[in-house]
Amino acid sequence: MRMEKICKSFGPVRALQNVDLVLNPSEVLGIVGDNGAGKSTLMKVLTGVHQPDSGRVYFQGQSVRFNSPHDSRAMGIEMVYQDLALAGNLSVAGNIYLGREPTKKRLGGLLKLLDHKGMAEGAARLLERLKIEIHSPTLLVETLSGGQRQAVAVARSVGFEAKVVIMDEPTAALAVKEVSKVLELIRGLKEHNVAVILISHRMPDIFEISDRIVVLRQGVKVGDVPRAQTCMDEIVALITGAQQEALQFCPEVS
Amino acid sequence: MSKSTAASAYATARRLSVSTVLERFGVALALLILMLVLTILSPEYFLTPDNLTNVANRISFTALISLGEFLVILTAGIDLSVGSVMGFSLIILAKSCHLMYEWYAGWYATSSMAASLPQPASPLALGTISALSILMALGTGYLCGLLNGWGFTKLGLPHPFIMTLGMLNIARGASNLVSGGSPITGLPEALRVFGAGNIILLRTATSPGFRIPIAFIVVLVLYFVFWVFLTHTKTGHHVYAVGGNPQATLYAGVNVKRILNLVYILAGLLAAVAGVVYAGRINSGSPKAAMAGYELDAIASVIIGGASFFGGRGTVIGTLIGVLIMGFIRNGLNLLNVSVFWQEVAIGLIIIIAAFIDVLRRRAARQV
Repeated sequence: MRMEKICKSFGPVRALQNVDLVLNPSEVLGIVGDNGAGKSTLMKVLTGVHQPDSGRVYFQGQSVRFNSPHDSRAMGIEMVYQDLALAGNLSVAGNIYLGREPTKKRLGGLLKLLDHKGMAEGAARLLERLKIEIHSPTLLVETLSGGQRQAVAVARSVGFEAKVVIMDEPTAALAVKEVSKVLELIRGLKEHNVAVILISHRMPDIFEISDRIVVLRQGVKVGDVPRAQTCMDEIVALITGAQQEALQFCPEVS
Repeated sequence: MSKSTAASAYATARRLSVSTVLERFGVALALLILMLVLTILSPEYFLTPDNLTNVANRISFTALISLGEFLVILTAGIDLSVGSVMGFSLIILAKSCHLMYEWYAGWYATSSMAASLPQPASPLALGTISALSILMALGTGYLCGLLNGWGFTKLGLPHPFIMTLGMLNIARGASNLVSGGSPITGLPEALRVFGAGNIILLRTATSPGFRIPIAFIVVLVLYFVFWVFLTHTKTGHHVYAVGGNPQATLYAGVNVKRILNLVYILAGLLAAVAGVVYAGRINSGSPKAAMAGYELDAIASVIIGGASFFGGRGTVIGTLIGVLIMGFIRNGLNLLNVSVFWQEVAIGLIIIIAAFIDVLRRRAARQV
């Protein structure tokens, strides 16, 4: 996936200015930046919520144009929302299959009824595959912990041949104990050939699992470095726009 | 994961949902206890076939508007207009029936082709007129429901409360305008059968048998249809999802506005069916039906039946039990000669208790 020279303005506000972004298969890309740096806008361009004023998006080598989240989802780009887009009154399986419920024809094709059993079994297999510990796919989501809900949201997005999963602050609302589980889950997605874009304010999380880190500041990309060649201080300097020579913060890397 | 482990996980899940079954069972238990108490307090009357037939007849139209109300409350909405839309459909039904009959009778008397057509008072003519009138009534319910839905989804009025409050007043006024403020009496047999007809079972030489009101059979059939709709179809699943988290449902690619429009349309249609049943019961179209405040009975039944005002929670069978509880309380207090005023107080208390149980349930869910 590649984005080239993306520009987007909202009235006088230039939210994104010539931003380039590359995402390789099975890569975990961390995106950091202060509030209002353009992270969310960039992701909304990528998922088709917003259309760029200029610039191009390429997906699997082809130039694409997403007019709505529906288009990007059809190509295998899924977003896991910060506010946990799950319905608490539905079961785990009901949430995973929401909007794409399998049906079976009954009464000689007269009625198309929900395949409850197929949904529960499919969800159980998916949870097992992603090593998510939830006793049963028929549990109501509102009875789950925050981490489990996040896991269900991730399972929901990857369950259906997603190639890119975008996660906006997946650990922000979680207890410390659960953060590591979600990070483990993200790492596990690699094995399923899913690329992940992780937006987070929690620097330790970014450093723990990202392969590469992109820094945005005031709508401009100011950094794009492999994790192994940087350190937290450098990234913080880039985020805040401190003028010092970046490498001096990372003695152990140079 | 092998198929068998997935299947066993599914089996465990079925066992685990015993708590949900208990939750549903609670309302049924309340109904059983109520019936037991009434049987003890009124041994000669309560459990007689005549009394039960009477209750089944009395609750039929409220059961229908309650079903529509339940669908709307499931999406965290409210429909204040179901009672008056029922009344308005009833007036349209009676009015169009009378107008069509008058028009046909007038034409028949003067036309030279009349000899080849059925007489106005013949069963065929009256049956056709009845069927067309029922279509008019259903059309009225559909239109009112559609406007209710649009008020929320297109006009963007802040809460369905406002649009349906407006509709309540419009339907009340329109009922009086169309009927001229007085009942339109006398309806053909073909029309009355839905509200006044009975099917008699187990009649022998010695016993009169059980009379099952056709209205109640209509209720049972529609409750079954809506149970299938809500628990076994995609759209039904989406209705629950909208009630649980409309934003999440939208993200999942579901057309939330379509679902919302649909529940208000269904509530309007069910109110019209209730109007047809009501018409048969009283053999007229009375504008009083629109003023009687039946929507409040419907809301009360839904809440007593365990649905949550916050949306997403409740069952069709729970709603039917809620309707039965309301019906039996009214009936029981009548049998015990308790004044109507005290009946209202009792029902008021039960609504508050039922809603409080919902609050407790939510509180418990949050503490898990």
